[in-house]
Amino acid sequence: MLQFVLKRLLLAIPTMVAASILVFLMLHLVPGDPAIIFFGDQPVTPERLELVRRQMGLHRPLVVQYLDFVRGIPRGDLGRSIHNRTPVFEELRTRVGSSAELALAAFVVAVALGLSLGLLSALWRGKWIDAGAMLVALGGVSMPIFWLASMLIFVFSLKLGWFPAIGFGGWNRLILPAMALGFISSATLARLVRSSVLEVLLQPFVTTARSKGLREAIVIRRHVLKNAFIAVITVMGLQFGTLLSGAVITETVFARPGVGKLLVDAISNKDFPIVQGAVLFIALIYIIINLFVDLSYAYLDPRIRFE
Amino acid sequence: MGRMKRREFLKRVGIGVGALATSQALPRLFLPGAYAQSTGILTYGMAGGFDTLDVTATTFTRVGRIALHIIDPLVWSTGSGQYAPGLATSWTVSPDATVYTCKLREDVRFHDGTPLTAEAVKVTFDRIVDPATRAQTAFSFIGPYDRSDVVDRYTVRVRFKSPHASFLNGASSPYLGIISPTAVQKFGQDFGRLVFVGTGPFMLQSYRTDAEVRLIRNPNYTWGAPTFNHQGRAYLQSIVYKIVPEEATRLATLETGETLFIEDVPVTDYQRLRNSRDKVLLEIRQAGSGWSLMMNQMRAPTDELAVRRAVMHAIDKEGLVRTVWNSVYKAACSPLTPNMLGFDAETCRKVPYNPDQARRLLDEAGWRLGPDGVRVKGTERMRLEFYLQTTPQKNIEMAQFIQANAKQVGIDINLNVIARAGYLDAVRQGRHHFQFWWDTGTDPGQMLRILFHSRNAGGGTNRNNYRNQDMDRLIEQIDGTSDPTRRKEIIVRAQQKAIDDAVMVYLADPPSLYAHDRSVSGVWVDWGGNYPYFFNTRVQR
Repeated sequence: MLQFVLKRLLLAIPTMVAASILVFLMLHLVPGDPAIIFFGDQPVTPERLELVRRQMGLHRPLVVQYLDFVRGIPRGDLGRSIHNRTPVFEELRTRVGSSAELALAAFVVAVALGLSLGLLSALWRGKWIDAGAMLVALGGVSMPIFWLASMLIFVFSLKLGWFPAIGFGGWNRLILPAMALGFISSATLARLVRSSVLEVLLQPFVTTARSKGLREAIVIRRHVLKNAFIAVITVMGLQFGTLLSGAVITETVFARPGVGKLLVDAISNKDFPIVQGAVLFIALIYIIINLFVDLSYAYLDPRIRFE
Repeated sequence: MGRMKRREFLKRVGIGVGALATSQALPRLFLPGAYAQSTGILTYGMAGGFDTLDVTATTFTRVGRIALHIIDPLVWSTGSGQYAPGLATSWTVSPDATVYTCKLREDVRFHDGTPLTAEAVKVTFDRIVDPATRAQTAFSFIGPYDRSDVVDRYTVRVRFKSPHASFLNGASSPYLGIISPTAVQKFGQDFGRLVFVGTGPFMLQSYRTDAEVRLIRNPNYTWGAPTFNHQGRAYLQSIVYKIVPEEATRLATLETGETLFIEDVPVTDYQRLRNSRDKVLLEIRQAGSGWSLMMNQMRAPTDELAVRRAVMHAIDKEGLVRTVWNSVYKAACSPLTPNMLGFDAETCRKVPYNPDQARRLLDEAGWRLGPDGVRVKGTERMRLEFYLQTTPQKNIEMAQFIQANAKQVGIDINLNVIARAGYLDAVRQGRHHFQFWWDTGTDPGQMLRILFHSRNAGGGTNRNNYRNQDMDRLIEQIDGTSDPTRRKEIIVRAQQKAIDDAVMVYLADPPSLYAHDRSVSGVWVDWGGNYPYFFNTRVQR
């Protein structure tokens, strides 16, 4: 097991290097001069523009710029924002807590709702429960998160006064954004759980388990769920990564600082160090999640452990 | 301890969660306004984040709004071209507007305990022009700054390389606010990020990027400007600026009591808030240059005067402000908003909406209507490129309105709605025919310079790429004239010239819209509508 984990961690290094090179090149290929963006609509002379370009280090060859960034990583130095000169590590640190808190809470909502809806739907296939659960899932897939988030604020903050509309810190500030984000994510999960469970239910070993006289609850828990989860867990892992880094709209509507919003702002400002640092962080998160997903495969399916 | 059975465990967890939820939810149900703040704390819903709190380096008006409480300006602007003492008790201006001598108050201390002296003013201004600071707004306010001379401990002489009649206007803005030299030296690059030290009635308590800024009352403040009829410390204990980018959410926080004051009120809620019994809508005509359309003279066919004139006549501004801005904004006439010094009301009669006139002008210029309704001249088809950014949404609505108006006279406008980076690249390189402009500011000379001076053409802010020596001369004269009457005359001439040369289309003049709870009183907003100031403010619930 330890060897497996170490191997995966070592493989993470080239993945992260590749991700950072790709992002670095893409940012430089996309039109837009960071110095011009920095000045925006402010008056500026060509000399001043050139000076700021040099201060930003943009006059150096691309390879040098990239290597400078890489050299700092072992020291935990991800450079400084070329716009406001704040250390990238600081920019990330101040937002990771809020993002992680929201991602975890939304993940709990998504998993609880997605699994319940998917299971109910699969076990009562063709009944009204199935139709109802899939209707809810369809709502989740097709509902814009922006609208759902605004509606939650309208009902639970404005009309009922149960929860604050904005901010972070404290569980009561977490519920509405987690519900909005979690509900949208639960829809995909519900549909996946339904199809996976239905597929496993048709397998001969389920018939065997039933014919042995096992109670239906045990058949479902021990034989159906464990097998159905192998596909589901991959998607769950990926969803967690998305919840952590891609909750820009939720963060904006509920006025929460977050890594997703930081990244989007940095991309539009072409703030290279911030984009590189944030992408590296997100890549690391995905690698760790995938590691956990792989480890959970081993738990769910003994054959994988032996391989 | 015996092992708990799974069912028992789940039951206990359920009871626990239920009790917690009930205990948290019930007070909200039965105590309306439970989120309202205690008296003395003002929560402010701010429309977005910013780069740094360092007012010298920032480009954000929002930073100015916060920083005005942390610093004190040298002078306060009480009206267009009118100034009252701030940190400077008196000042003299040389006849050629190149030397300003300011006498400072002698009883002022920075938040770090160091005294305000002429040296601090010198350090603040020198820092603005230091390339390492990368100052932007402050840099344009300080203009052709040469140096500051410390005459004595409380007298400073500010010298400019060329006439700079608008210096007092800049000195009244938060961006030239005086900062603590000791703190700047001590904190280096962290100044503005972690700390920001001025002499103002509030001190920076904490700053969490993209979330909130907390200010706390300066207990030693005894130098309130005479304008505010109150010299002692501020009435509020603290101000909390919460960053709430989404406008509907921001408004919701005002309704729930999570904020007591919000900025950038959406025009769709204007009427409702005006009629509200427990909320107050503040509407101040914004100073500067309203929403307008720049027409690039570097590209054909907007290099033709007739085409630009036709565009001016083709746009129904009244219809635009009614459709896009719910008539909250007013149709614009001039590059300057009506509350600016020298605004020329005559401009409102000069270019009426007249599509027939637009068609005539285009016909006379040889642009004939083609079979598809789009005008052609020889082999050239009148398809014009309009570059605009993806936000705000109102930009796109205005552009679509203009596109429809132009189509009626045979001009085909192609909308290029693109992200900021691509947009700035395109318009700075002059690939556009049209782009929007909007700017706030209280100095007419500075506004006209930004829009029309040839030095700002070719990649700068004059994206009309309008180059005219007479206009340049007029702008230089405005900057070199301290006498308000004479200055006003030149400003009027510059506006008339801009209309005659059909440089831009002036579309809509916006108000600054703020709203607050009725429990808030004593809010002061500068005449330009940009800086709500809470020195005299009280919150009583």
